[in-house]
Amino acid sequence: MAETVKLTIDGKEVVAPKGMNLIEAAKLVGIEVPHYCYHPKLTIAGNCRMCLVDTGMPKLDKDKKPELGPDGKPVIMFAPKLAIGCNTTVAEGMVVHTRTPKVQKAREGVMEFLLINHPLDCPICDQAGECRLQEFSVDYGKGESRFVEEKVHKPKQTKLNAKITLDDERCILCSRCIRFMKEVAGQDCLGFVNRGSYSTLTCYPGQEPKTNYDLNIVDICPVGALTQTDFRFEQRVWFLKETKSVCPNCSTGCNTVLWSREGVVYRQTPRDNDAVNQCWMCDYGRLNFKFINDPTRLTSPSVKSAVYGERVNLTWLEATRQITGKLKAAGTIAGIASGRATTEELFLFKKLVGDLVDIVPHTGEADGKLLQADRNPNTAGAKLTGCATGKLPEILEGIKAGKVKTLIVLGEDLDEELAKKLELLVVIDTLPTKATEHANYVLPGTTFAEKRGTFINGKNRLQRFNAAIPPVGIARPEWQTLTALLGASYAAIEDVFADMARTLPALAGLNLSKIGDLGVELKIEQPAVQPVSQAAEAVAK
Amino acid sequence: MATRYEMEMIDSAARAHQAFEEELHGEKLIVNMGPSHPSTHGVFRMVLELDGEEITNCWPEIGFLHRGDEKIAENMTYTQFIPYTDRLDYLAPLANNVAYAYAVEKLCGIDVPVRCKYIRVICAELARISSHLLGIGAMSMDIGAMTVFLYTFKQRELIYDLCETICGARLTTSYTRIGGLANDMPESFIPMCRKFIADLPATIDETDKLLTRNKIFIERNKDIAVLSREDAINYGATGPILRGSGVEHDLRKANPYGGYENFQFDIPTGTVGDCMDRYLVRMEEMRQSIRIIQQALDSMPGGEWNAPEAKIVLPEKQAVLTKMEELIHHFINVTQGINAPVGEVYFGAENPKGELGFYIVSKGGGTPHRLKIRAPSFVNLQLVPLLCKGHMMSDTVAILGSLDFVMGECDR
Amino acid sequence: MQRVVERDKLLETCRQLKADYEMLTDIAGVDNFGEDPRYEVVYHLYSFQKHEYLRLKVKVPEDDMIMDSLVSVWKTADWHEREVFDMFGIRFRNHPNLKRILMWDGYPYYPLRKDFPLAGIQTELPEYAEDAGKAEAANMLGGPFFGGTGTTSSREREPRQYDTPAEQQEKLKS
Repeated sequence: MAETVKLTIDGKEVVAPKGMNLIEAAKLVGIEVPHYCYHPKLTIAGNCRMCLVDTGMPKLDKDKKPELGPDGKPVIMFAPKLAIGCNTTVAEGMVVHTRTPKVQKAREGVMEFLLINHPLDCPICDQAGECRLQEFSVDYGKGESRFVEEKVHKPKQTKLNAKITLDDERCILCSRCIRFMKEVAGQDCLGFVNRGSYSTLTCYPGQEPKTNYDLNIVDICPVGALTQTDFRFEQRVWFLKETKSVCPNCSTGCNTVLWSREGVVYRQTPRDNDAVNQCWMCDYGRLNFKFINDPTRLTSPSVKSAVYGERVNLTWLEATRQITGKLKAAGTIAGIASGRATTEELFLFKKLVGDLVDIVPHTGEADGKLLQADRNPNTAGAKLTGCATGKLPEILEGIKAGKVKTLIVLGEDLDEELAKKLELLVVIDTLPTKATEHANYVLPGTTFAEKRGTFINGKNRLQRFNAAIPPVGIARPEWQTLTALLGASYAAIEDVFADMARTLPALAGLNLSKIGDLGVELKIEQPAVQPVSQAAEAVAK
Repeated sequence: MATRYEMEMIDSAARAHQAFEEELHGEKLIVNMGPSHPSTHGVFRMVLELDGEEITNCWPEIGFLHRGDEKIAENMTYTQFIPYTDRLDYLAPLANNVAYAYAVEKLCGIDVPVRCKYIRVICAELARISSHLLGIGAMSMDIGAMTVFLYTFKQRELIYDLCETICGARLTTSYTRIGGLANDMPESFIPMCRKFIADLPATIDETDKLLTRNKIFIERNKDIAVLSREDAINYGATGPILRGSGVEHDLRKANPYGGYENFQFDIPTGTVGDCMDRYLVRMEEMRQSIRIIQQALDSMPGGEWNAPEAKIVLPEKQAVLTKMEELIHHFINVTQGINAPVGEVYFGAENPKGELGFYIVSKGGGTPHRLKIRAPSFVNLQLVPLLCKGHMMSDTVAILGSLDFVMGECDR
Repeated sequence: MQRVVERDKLLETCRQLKADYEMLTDIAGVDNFGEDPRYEVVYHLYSFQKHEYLRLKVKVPEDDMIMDSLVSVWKTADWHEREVFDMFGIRFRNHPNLKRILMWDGYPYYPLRKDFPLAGIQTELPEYAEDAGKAEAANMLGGPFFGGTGTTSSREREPRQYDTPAEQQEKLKS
């Protein structure tokens, strides 16, 4: 148990762990101390001076005991000057005031100085709606400006790299981006040049941010100095709906927020989750969402006409009836599932297909921080539901040899010759691929943004994500499609999860609401499965 | 709602026997004065049960103009809701604006400068004159005296001209803002207003001559729909209806707000509580309003018309476009709304139709948690069954005209 | 001036108060989504002698939404209580005619509750109004954009898109 310290903030008693700074301690009792340069995951800079608070320690007499005043309470000696809250650690008996007139004047003064050279960009700045400068100016700053000189002009709208645009005039010189690039991203390329009012943020000459974590500086910049180039002027932030989600691009499963409006996703930002990704997200995952609103998305179930070779659209009822009829008549059914499918879908898929099922591995290079080599978000989920058997080479051989004639593919691609060899190929996918071109039946599915489900990440953490936008056309979430093919009667995804929780001991006692927004760590005994081999990877695409 | 009577068609002897046993009412006629009706002053439905010409029962139905204002208010900032207040009592929009502004200012604890108060008084009194002119004109037209309608509407057109001068719009004025007004009263307004109140008494006198001692008008209004003092208070009636029944209660004198304590005016009160008294109260109120406007124009101070609250009142446009803090404050004020403190407030203003009350529950922030509009017409309309029973069918128009309600306010 | 009154003592208290506070000005319902008890009914009384208002607040829990009607004390409570019933679903005992007043009879929802979306819910119109058109959810161009309420910090009050006020309050809590 960490040691704790008792102090008083604005008259409220706070019990804070030792070593905590005053901003965090005030947050424990719901008091906001405005700050710009302080960030809980970066080193302390102390250059913005916005978090100034009035601190006082009890007066000690000669025996080092607190001297008691006439009312029985310890006499507090307040420091002659205000102290910054981010760099002051809590101490026993400390008394902090955050609302006295002295603190108010200090905040107004700091705010005024920050605003004297700030450009009047609010109408065109993307940060409006999430701009700390605006918010703290209205809450803690003065209402009237006394500045009559001309503002300093600095380079505007420069490209820091292809993904980030830098506007130097808006920068308030908090140095969060500099500290982030140096400490977290690992590339020390940003810094301040010139002095005084002419201080400018630049990238060192000849360099540009080249890490996989550059776009995090857009998140932590409190003003609109650093903006994401492909989100510039797209949407005003207050029109967007925030949906909590999980990144499906690797097995880390960083917690994200999807920002969407009227069925279009505009950007992704990371969410705080100390167990998974602190508050960062890699660029690889962050930028990979444009496929959700791709115009070539599959919108309707279709069947390949045997006579004409064209695809004909079907209703769900027709498609389901035809497929279930054909599956009953077929012999051995094989299934290729995806590590990108949710746990519920894999559970239903296993029920539908049986033993001859496997997922397709996708790997890449791990970058040592958040991005893992395993690019499937739900490998652990596939293993848990029994879909990751390692039989992929066997299945593909079987198709080549003609032993396997019926194949159901869930969200993966398949080689052309293999597709042509099959008698019945049912593909459930979101975007057109070679498999959907040659499939007998194509059933449209939904991306991670359009359905509610769970992933189990590489560290066996069960995480839930929510639907942000409605599906495209008449596409349905895959669990509904698989329920229809199974002939089961799950009314909602909560029922699928409940069934899964009954069957799989690792999920006992959980339901979708209990998982919460931060996920739950599962205790899974690793079943004995063959690891996915290199040969399998080479054969599948 | 409508009651259905089932009558068996039995043979005449049995019917005669039945009639002998109980009082023969005959078959009562159910007449629907439907929502679309020229005399029901808006979309108001009354189902009347008539026994010959006499009304034995009456069921009013409202809700045809329900637009969900209170639900919308939970989604709008305080300033964004001001145009919705225009459309409550759309015959006196300036009065609603003034009442709402005072309610929110009471919540935030702001006091507006004296000039703003006096301008708001002039606006409210002009709205009162406008509403009463329409009330009397429409009632007379329904009763049959159609000329009066045209005379009063001519004066209302002049009031619309005044509204246009002061804020740019005739009906949807949205003139007040939290902490002040949208713009200062222009110079051209004062001579226009003086001319108007100089010419208005002539029209009121003319109307008076046409109606007050007119035998037909008296026959149709005297002792019709007598509302006793106790009933008026019990039914929560306010405004000219309450005063017509003899209760001397006017919020401008009882709980003075907005500078009314500085003006001298009388409160006309009736004695009997019939339609005639309510009509006379309205006529006299118009004369008193002219008095108030005269005093306000004579003693109008100069100076600021917005409260000096930088966090609540929007800064002036010149400053917004050239200075940083003002731009930021304008931005946040428009997107998030003013930072109202936590609390709740009820403010009742003396509107032409009665007491317009706003009950605002704020949990902090720019949008109210709950905004309840206490509409005078909603409460006054409960009197309709009580007043109509026992009177003739043709008295309904006189009664509805004397109640002078407007459905925009009633249904919100 | 305001007072909190227990639900079962309301009728008695009002009978005693009527001597001083002759007029019942207003009855309002308030939905405090997320608190327990969830609903509140607020009465405003006015005294002609003292020229002041008195506010009475009665808390109503979500699972037991019945209250005593004040029609026997002040006749004006009639339509006010009907409106509270129409908008929130709180029933009043001994009310002479507790029907919906602003919405049509048979409307299935209670609109002023915080979990009713601002855009409305598509409902069927009654048979006699079949030609009147449709009762559909309004096109909100991406949904209502709520600014913050329930907090005085500008950071938390930035507007975002929510479907119902209840969603926004849930987000503020987390």
